[in-house]
Amino acid sequence: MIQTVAVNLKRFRAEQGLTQPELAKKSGVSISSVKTLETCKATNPSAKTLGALARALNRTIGDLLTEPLRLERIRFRAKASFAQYRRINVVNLCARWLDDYCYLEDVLGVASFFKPLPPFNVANDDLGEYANEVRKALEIQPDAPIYDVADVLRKRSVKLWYCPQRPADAVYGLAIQESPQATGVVVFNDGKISTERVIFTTVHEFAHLLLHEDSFKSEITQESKTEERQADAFASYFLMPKKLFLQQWEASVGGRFVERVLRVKRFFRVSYLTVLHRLVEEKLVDPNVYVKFPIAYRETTGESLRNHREPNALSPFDVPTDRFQRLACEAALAGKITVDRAAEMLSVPTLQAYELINQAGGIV
Amino acid sequence: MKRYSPALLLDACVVSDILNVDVEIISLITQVLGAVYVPSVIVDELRRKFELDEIIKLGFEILEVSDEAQYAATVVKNQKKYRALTQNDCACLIMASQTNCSCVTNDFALQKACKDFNVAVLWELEVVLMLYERDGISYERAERYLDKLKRISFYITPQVSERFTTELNQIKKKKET
Repeated sequence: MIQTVAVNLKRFRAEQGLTQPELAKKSGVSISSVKTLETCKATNPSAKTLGALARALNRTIGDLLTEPLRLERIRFRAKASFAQYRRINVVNLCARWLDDYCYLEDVLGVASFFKPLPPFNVANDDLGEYANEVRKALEIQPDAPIYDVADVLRKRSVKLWYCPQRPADAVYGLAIQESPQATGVVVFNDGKISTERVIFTTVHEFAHLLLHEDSFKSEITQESKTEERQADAFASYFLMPKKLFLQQWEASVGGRFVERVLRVKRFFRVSYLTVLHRLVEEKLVDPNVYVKFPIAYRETTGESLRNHREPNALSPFDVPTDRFQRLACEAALAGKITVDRAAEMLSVPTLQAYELINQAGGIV
Repeated sequence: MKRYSPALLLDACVVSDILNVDVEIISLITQVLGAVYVPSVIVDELRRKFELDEIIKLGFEILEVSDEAQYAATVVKNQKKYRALTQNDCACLIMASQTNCSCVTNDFALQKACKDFNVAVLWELEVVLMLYERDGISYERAERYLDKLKRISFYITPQVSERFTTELNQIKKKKET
């Protein structure tokens, strides 16, 4: 227990940007107590001491006494370096979600296990072809866009969470392959990123599960450019198969360039940049299209594409629903968990969860 | 009638139900059955939806959850057996145990845990039945409570409704004889 308190105290203090003397002052606990607690030299602290420290850190006694969960086979990389405590927080958050997800499946008797797909032939290195193979294995029509990526993941029992918080600006998602049941994708969707990005990131992380099984190691924190490029390429071909893309592009002939891009991007539910990348890749346009398109867009619509604005964007309601919320509601309806526990799992206030569960139970 | 302690500790959903269905019933509960407590840990939650002053005026008393109780709640919550509960659920359980209150909840998982700790538990509708039995409310008011509650709470399944009506009628019959 004392080790748990020590780990948590250090990370919550770092999170709040407090020094040991500052925490001591804010909590009214002596500085020597703070030090001995953080170095595991203290005997079991009293509830009063823990309460004072928890309040000073905007946490609860429960937070201080609960060990952060770890994951061994997580693929959580970022361009920017992360403070250790922030990494622990993100891993803990995702591990709790996955643990809760598996628990819900177990209590409802619907446990699901990752169903692997045909392996990627590295020698061949044709991700377009591999994406088509995967689409085929998932029984997706070759001439159809993907309307529900959550459903695609569900078919292979990959758990999906659209986490309502984002740990840092440059972090969009991660993937976990802890065990066949605990295999999942987390996309950080705080509502500030476009739905197109949410969809693309979902497939990008799914791609890591298929392509980079050996790189699921918690100790690796730096991004691998090659792996990122491969995951991006897979996501692009998976959402926008080559043949279908060319058909759609051809079908849009007659419209202005801007209109054609917007029409095609909307058809495939991808960003306009994904379409531009493909056009460049297929040598259908010059690489300076990245500069020209925003100007042409402004001339056509009078609007700017600054600040990562997505033109002709999907609505936030187009984000697919993950199965987690449904399971939490079902478990509460079946009396397997309390309403408050469902609220905790769904990161919503209790009475909001009560409403959600009521609606899931047919009370509108 | 079930074992109950003459002080009631309500969970957030039950408080919300009462405030939505029949607010005046609170003063009747306090007069007929005993004090009605709300643990401090759910007060912030209730504040999001209701005026706290109003809640207190109606007769709810806030029961402060001490650091010791929070500590004990964490110990319970961190046991695998109680994964269905949250820290706040466990705090309710500990407070009910320490203050000898009956825990009023419709959450089956919390009820089960209460039984493990020998805490008396009541369903929300049992409180309504007890009120009617002790002449705190009329038969019609009890019926109206059920009618409104089943429109806003998933806990009130047709089976629960039917059982309530049967028990209500049994009490009525008993009263008449």
